Amino acid sequence: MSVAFDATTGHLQLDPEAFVGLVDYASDPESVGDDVVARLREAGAVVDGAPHPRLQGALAAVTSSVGSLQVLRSDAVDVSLHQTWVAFVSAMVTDLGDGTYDFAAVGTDFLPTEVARFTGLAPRPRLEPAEAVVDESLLDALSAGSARTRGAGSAALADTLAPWPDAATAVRAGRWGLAVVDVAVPTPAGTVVRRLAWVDTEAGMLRVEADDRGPVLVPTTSTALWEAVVALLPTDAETGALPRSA
Amino acid sequence: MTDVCPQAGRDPMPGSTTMTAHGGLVSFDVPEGWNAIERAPGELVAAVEPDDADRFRTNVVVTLTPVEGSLLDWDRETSLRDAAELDGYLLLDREDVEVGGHPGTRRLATHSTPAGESVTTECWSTVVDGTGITLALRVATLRVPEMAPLLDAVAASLVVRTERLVAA
Repeated sequence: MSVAFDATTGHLQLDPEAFVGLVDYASDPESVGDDVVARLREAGAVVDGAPHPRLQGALAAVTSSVGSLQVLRSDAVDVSLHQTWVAFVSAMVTDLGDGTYDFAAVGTDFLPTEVARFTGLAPRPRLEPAEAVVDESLLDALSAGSARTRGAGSAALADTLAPWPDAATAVRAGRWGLAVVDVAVPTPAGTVVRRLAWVDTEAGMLRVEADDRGPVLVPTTSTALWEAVVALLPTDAETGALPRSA
Repeated sequence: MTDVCPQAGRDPMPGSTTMTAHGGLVSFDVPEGWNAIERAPGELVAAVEPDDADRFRTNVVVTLTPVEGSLLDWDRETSLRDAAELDGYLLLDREDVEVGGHPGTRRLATHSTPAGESVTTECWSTVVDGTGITLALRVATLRVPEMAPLLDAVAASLVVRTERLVAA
């Protein structure tokens, strides 16, 4: 378990316990265990009884966000989960894959860029128009923590991709990725949730859409996904006209 | 920002103004009220949406560049140069398309402006008689869903004429 903080850049890398402790410390220092406070203080993330000024923007986003954005990315090798609190200036916890996370403020207009980086959104060939119905359990398997489960899921996915042989071949070779982006926005009428999910292969990309048959894979492009990612963010109507750029 | 292909001879989009650049060799439509940016009188290089508070103004820029190699090589060099020069550059999409009736490319990318704003840029490029022609459309990233239909219409209106093409 570790905490590393660079006061010059504001870069903070820490474990989940230290992150929760830092967030709690910002509002109620007495509620945080001495050992956690000591680690934060030693790293310089807590100074003179308060979080370092370079961290206060990101902490403000956590405590006063207008919505959350979560990005899951899985492939044959790994699964990572990144969390964002959306606010005037947003905050982001980036899964580094080794049990630690980066915590940083990010301009809200750069959230789509971060999503694109997390998910590896990039140019891909276009797949022929067609569609394939998939079982919800297959998508669960593709995002499972167990590599064996993901492997079984990818084998089933390859069979499903029969309309697109090149994509099926890539999946069988282990060259696939699944991206799931979830947004939740509390509103007076209830929490609004939106999800965008797609399967990425070197032969092309397929968006997960839903109809009365359940999840359906439909060819898409990174241009369409870029627009869809931006459209996922909380709207002015949902947030009460929160400025949407930092 | 869909897969539109600019075609010569399209009807102007409704409520639009046709902007011509480089002696009329390149033209495209923008909404009425957009400002023309001229390098010299009558020498248009860009069109910009009207000023609205301090937000990034959506714009369309036309550039002509001498090109010695192939379209593919030039496109690759341009993309590498953008990646090196633009802060936080991320190439999102690239495809081979027709541009103004000529073989061309379309690139979609995002980067940060010097003012720290996230913008999305869509470039339509072609090479005609040794001259590389690019129509670059830039919009604040958070306005992409709102502006995409308009930018599609601008791109679809692009006309590239081949006679008397002279690099700027």
